Amino acid sequence: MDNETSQRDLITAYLLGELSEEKSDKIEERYFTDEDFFTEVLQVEEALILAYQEGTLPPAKSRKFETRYLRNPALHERWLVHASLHDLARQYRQPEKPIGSSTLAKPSIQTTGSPQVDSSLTAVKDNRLRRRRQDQAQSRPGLWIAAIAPLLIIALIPTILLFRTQNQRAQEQRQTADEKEKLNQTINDKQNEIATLQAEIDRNRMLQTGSATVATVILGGTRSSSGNPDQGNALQISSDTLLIKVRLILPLEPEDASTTYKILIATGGKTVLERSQLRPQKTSEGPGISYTFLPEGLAPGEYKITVKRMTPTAGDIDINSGVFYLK
Amino acid sequence: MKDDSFNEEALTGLLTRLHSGKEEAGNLYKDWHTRLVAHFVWKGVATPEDCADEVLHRVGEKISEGVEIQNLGSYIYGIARNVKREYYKKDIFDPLEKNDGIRPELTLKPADIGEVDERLACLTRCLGGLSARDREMLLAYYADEKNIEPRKQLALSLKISVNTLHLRVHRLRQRLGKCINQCLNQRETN
Repeated sequence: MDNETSQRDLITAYLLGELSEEKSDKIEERYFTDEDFFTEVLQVEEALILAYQEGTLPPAKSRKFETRYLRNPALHERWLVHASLHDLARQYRQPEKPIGSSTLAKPSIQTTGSPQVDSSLTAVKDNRLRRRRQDQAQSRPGLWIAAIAPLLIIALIPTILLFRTQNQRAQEQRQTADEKEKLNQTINDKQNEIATLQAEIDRNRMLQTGSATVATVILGGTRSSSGNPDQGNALQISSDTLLIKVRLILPLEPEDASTTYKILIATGGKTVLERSQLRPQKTSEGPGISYTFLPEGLAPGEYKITVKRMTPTAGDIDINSGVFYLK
Repeated sequence: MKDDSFNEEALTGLLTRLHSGKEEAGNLYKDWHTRLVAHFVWKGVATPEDCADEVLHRVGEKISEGVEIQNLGSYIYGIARNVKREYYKKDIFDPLEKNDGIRPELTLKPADIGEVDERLACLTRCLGGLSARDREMLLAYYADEKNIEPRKQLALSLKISVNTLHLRVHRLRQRLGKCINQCLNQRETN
């Protein structure tokens, strides 16, 4: 067994929970310190899920896969998206696949029902066709060019000699113009360099002051910063902010130390982010909870923050809310 | 309750440690977050993002306290192990090893037509929520999942490394996973 296969087998065993703690720790330390290895683990996971979908996993591994990936919520989610993307790609790629295959139980579709997705699938297909044609054009042997090239060269020799002197003169004139152009280009490059360095200085200044990198929305307490949408003064946050932090200062210490909280972020009546099981932490203003998230993928608009206390008997109880505007 | 000394300064300190440029620091932060989430998912932790946030939170605190970190990856892994141990002790999370995370109601083999159709319908809906650029990148990535060459070409056409392509696709899958799950749950209740 070569090293590559052995490494893939080891990673597969890790993903299926078959390794000892010591061996697992080694794999984990490696993917934290070696990005290439981390992406390899991701690829092995993808291949594992694909093998399961296609029914090519050995029975023992298949059972292990089901126990881990299909019964654990977080891993189930990973299986779900991989499996769905494979199914979509397969349907779109193989229109002639017969009915009754392991993952495809009816004839393929050429449309998904969503104009945006169909348009993207067509764009991907067109790009692939274009690249294939380009490759074919570049690799054509062109034997006919090789056959007539010597004859063409012989015929063109007198013409070439005639134009040589004229070309030499034109070349000298071009050289002077080229030198001038090079000088102008150098000036432009230096100016761009200065502008880039200035931007870097500005960025570092911003980074040091913390502005435009992290935005904090404070609910409750004396420093509440979320606005009131009815008064049109929702807190404005730029969409190029790296992280948004929501903080709620609780009025009192919770009576029960095991009390947990939930924060929901919604827009247009739809929850887009949710974090539960948040525990209170000490702050200078009293007990508080916080939730930091990346606004990646959030569209500009108004967002409502709702904070709930999670109770085992009475369900989730609303305790505070706020808004911010992502611009 | 633990002491919350985490503030914007600590977070900014972490970002500066990652890179002096804001955009590059942001991308590295996201990469570390992605790696941590994957780690906690593979460990069977029920709320991997909470744990990932907690780890980065603690690393930021240490940096703002002036702790010198030679190897950031090893340091982050060390903190991740501590966080995992603490949460196992609190029994908040159900690790796979304890067999408490098993949910028998989750489908084992959704091989029938209805389930595949529902998954695809939800996937289509969720794909519609991505930007056209992200959607095309993802679909191109899956156009030929068994061969490496098309993905190398895709990375080349996007002017990024293959590793960066894998990480970006992985992050998009994370977003899609939540969306598809929510969509399927909604269809179930309707």
